[in-house]
Amino acid sequence: MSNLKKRIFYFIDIILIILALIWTLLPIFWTFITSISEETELTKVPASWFPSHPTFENYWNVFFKKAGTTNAFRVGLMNSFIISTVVSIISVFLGSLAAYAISRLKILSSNIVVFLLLFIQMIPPVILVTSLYVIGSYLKILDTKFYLGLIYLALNLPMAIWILKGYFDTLPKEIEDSALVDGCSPPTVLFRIVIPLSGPALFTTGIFTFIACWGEFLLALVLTDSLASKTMPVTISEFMGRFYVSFNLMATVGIVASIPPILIALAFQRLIIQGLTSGAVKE
Amino acid sequence: MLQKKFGYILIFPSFLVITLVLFYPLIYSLFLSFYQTSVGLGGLKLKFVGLNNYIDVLRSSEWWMSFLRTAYFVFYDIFVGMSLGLGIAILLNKNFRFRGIARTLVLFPYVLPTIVKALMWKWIYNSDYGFLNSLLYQLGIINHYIPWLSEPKLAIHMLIIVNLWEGTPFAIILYLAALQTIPNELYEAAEIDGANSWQIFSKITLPLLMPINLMLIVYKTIATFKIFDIVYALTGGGPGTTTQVVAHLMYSTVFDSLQFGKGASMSFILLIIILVLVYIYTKLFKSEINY
Repeated sequence: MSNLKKRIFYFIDIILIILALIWTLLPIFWTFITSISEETELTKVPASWFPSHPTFENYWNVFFKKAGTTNAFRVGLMNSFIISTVVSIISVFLGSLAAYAISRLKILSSNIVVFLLLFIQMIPPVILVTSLYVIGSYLKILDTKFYLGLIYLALNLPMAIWILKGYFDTLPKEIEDSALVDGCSPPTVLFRIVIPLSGPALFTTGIFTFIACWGEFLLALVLTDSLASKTMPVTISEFMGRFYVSFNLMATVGIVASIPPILIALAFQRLIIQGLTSGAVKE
Repeated sequence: MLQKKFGYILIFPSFLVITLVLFYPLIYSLFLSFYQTSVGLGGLKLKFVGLNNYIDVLRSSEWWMSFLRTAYFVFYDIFVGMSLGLGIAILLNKNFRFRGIARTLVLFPYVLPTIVKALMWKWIYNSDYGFLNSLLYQLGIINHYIPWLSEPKLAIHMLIIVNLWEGTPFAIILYLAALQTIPNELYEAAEIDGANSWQIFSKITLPLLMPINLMLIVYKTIATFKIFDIVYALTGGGPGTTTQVVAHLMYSTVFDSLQFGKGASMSFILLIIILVLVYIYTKLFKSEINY
């Protein structure tokens, strides 16, 4: 009896989990289906659940066709990739220096760091964008990858410092202490002992920064104008605003733009979850 | 001391970048908010107007309507979004095959670029060929296609659905992590004492999740009051102004009507409101946790 009851409950749980996954994945799945459908199939009413002639032609077009729209998207993709990668590397580097100073050398109290972090999160980006626009045009660095990247760096540094500080706090202090006793200088301890030991944390921080920069839209929308600096989200929004653009091509663009973050999620699920929960739960 | 000095050197670059890129513009915006700005030949023209921008904003019904609309989003995010997150977290915390895969899959809406999410949902909501109409029609729930995003009362709720979809993974992950820190002995002891599952949930699980609840409420309030991308890409604030949220109103004040000063004063009003809300939450929850 109790065994039967257990099995029924297990069954209900599985059904609920499947429902939750359908809710999560259906929009993505549907976009993918659209991207491999032929144009004529999309205007069928009611829509078909699976294309009768699946085709990857649009993926080919997005990557290799020499049309204006797809070309802009490709350039945007490349710009996003460059900005996100460079910003991730620099914010991991600068962030680990600052985090070490806060965690070990007690330069700032944790409370101040948390408050700063929260406060920076609270600032509506629109407010920053107004003055960043004015300042950027005054300094003549508006519409450059450098300016956008610098802003992304500043926006992501607090989070990077927070994740890394949480990690450094958990490292055993004894190794560093004995190194200091042996006559190592603080910089040697940091660069020779602490940073090499922190691989996973540095990596997690980089992943977060990358995902954040990859998806950022508002600042890029306002601060970039030419193809030299437009990022992928901006080129996609222009795609969407066009009077006529084929839905399957648009869906393809969406899927292509999702590939990097999805690959990251698949490969580093554990690191992402650790990063999100570090500091939040361990109180 | 040598160590202290080294510490300051380490923190200096980050401090410099954050100050220059975030705090300097913030202060510049504060300065702008006391000026009437106009853009003409020769750049930005400024005229000092004191607190007039703030008074104008606080007296405009447009601002308050947008504010209430945004608060409506926050309300759903906190009540529906967090319950959904907790529910799914409890499910994913159970033992079943493919648990790791399931936990990875729920991350997807969190990691996708917002503009891509907007694109996906715009296509789903498409009134002629969209998936939602097609699905509901085939299931016999509706007998004619509905223009989801162009009916005033519907549009905002369709946006709320997208917002819930994209916000739930974050709550799921935090709850999952918190659930794993609750020692199993507590549950075993309660079971021996004959507590039913509702009692176990309300007397053990829920109280122990209070710190996470506070964190999520604060985070969701902050994040949702800034909501922009989805609204911009899906409805552009329309139909009419029925989906205009504060960030969108600020955006159009600044970039469509070029009223930099007024836009800046809006941001500071919003900033103050969020600060007050966060302060109230922390006070409320402190008494809750002590009890």
